[in-house]
Amino acid sequence: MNLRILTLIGREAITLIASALIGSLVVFGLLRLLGGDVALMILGQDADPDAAIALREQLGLNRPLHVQYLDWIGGFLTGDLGKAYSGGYDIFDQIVARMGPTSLLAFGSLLVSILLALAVGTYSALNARRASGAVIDVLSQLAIAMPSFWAALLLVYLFAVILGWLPAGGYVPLTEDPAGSLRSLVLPVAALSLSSAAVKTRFVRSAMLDIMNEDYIRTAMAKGRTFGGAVLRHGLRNAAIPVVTISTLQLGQLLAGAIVLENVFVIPGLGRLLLVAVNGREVIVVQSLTFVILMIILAMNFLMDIAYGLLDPRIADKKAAAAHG
Amino acid sequence: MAEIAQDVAATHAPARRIPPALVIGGVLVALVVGVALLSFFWTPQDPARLNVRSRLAPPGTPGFPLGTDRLGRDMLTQIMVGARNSLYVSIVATVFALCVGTVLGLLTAAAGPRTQSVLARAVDVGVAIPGILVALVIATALEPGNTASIIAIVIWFIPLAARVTIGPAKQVLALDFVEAALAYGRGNAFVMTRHVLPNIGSILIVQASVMFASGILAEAALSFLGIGAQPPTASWGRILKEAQPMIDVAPSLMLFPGLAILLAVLGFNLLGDGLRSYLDPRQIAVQGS
Amino acid sequence: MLSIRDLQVRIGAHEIVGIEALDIGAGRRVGLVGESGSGKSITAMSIAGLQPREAVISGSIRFDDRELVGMRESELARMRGAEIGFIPQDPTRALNPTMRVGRQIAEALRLNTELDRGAVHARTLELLEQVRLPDAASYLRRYPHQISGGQQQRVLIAMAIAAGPRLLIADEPTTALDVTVQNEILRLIVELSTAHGMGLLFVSHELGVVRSVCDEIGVIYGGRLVEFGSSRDIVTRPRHRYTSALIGAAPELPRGDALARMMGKRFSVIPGAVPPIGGFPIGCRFRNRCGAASEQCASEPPVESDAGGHRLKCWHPVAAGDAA
Repeated sequence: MNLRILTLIGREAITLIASALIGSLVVFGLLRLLGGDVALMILGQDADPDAAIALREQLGLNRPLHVQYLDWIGGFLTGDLGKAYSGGYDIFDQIVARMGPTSLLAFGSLLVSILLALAVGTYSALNARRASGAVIDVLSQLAIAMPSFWAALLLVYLFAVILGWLPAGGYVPLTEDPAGSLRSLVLPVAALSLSSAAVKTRFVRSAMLDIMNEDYIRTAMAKGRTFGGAVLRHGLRNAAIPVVTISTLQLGQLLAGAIVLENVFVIPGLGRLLLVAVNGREVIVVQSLTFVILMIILAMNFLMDIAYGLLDPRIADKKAAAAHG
Repeated sequence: MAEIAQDVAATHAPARRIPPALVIGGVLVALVVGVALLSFFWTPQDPARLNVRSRLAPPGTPGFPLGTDRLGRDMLTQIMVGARNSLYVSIVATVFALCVGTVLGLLTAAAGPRTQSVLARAVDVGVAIPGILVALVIATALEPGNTASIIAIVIWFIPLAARVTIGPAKQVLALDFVEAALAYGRGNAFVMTRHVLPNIGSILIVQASVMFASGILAEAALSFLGIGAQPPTASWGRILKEAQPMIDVAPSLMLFPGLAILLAVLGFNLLGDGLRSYLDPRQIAVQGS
Repeated sequence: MLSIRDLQVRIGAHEIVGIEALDIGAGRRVGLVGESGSGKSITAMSIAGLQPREAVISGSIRFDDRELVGMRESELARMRGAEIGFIPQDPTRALNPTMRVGRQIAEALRLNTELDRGAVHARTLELLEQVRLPDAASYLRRYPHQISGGQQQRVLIAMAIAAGPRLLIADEPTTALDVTVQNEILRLIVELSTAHGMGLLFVSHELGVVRSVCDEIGVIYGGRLVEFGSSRDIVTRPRHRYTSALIGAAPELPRGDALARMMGKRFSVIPGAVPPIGGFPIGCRFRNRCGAASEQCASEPPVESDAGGHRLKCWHPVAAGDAA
């Protein structure tokens, strides 16, 4: 498009790659630092020494560390990360297969929580009578304090056990059966969005209340809009900016919640595999999965920062000025 | 003349009204702590006792006010004992993380511009990493259990504590009398402890309360996933986990532990909010985790 | 064209504006003068329904034969832009910072005309040229923070006249601008309103400016219209104490003005300050700052007198030739 956007994307891409590299080093190092010998971690500390020796050969654990590291990172590009020790499955294949469900859950929740926050926050600002403001505050506090996995169980009880409208778990791929897929995602997405939506709603409400007093709302009205029309057309876009900021900060929480809820609803995503791997002491699987999830967060951060730069032209200009100044 | 009197009155701090959040939060926290402490002396039933004949009793059954789980353990007892675990893990982890994180934050605030920007960036990245991920990695390397939980939560919270400290510490360091002290020859450590810490103290107290809340939530999540407290240690998260398969048969099992978590987290959150309004509404900006 | 009768604007328990009568004839230019806090801006905004949300309006504002007070918001909104244009005060805050300038002007066209995209584009460029922004096309894609205050004000003027309204309300359009730019903007407003036969309500705290732009001037204090007449009359033969005080304090009136020579005075300051909302005295609202106040001023608010089109609300007006 134009130079400003290109420089923005370029800068964000560099941050992305640098963070990814550092992240991979940290994951690689932390496991070995805390756990010591990889083979013993997998087999158990009091395993048969011969089995340990054989495993070290098999996994190439006798090679120098930097070689192991490069080999591992390279595996992401070549598509070969090895096989799980006890599970026997191909790690790379599993990761690819499970990206879909996790992304659907995470992005779905992000979208839903943003839309929910914009709707509820705007409504509450436009109708800022005492009562509704206080009610929203109380509900927000409750939503924030509620563990997502408990909310999930409550939702399952209400909608699956009692009402029978939605499935209690499981997952249908989007390509197979779109309607069924969405049905299976309603409860998990609802549980995941709840807490983050509550936080975003407060920001939207506060931003909208500020915006309602801005002069440019009056200008829009002077052109022929009603107050509500002016707020929606001009305000919403400007209220979206703090929402994007907050969403960026909540990304870590979002993925964490996705990991937990995949296990509650038995969704075959990265989080589910991660827990299974942790329980099975599959060090290499955990290592790779952790890095992949980290990459998802970094990638979402990347997109968010670009969205932010697009929404508020002043920010991109300021950043550019700061970079040259 | 009247205007002058008005001006003078406005510069004095207005009478401190106790915010409702502080009261409600305080009550809830006291309740949770009280229950946890009480559990050391008395519980309705012996926590380890399995009443096999009364398995899955519904709430209101005589002798078991909140019912029993599938092994026949009294739910009320389990919840009381579970409070101990949640508080223990959360408080220990938070205190550790605050100590280390604050030091890190102070170091960053006092560092030269280049070092500072690198450290601050690192802190930001640290904040962005989901703690559950860290915990899962640690649980792979170490044995699952409360210790692993604590270590994981500490690593998770250190960047948060650091980030909260950096801004206010920088502000205090920029104050005239502090610059004077430094110019006068006072060592950095001296300045930090004598001048900076007391001034950011109220921020740290508020942050501690909020982090206790997050810690409880984190411990519950880890126990729920099975990598935190291991049986037979009672933990709200673990009780919730065991309740899940029984959801159609005995839904009340998941109700009470979840409610306990909700109240404890709500309590600490409100306490933090209340303290923030009460102590100094202008200076404190708490980062939620 | 515009008739205001018994207009009352209340905020909470306080009456901010109380104007018994004010008219703007088609194509005429009327000025409203007063210090900050006099209620002139609120009066102007109330005509178009742009007053603050907390303000409650009662009385009558008739535009042609339509009653604006009590009109449904959607109808009133339709009239804005199409029939009544509004130029706001502070251009740096009156434009949406995240929307391109071209689009904001186009919005005025799309809301009030049936033009298609191509025509809107062409007309936007036309408008930019009309407000004397050189190289009009370059402005379309710029954001408000990328252009100067004077340029922003021109954009706002373009938006206000875009749909060809019959009444233009300008709320202190030059107050927030550099002195060097002010004259150009004023000239622009006068030219445009003349060229399109628009009526103009010009609000300002600068008497000299209003005098040079408007045919008739109304002086506002404490929300009351204390004096009204032709510009010439008001400036050369002020009758209200406040008006003559304003003239005395006005540095912009040209030195050559007969009045200034006659009075041989230097600039003077009006004693006291405009009271905040709810702080006005009973009776004549100006009495605490007036040199000629009496018992009557304290007990009865002045009644309007009319001497050949020169209206006045004062118990002790300045006699012709008197010093204030």
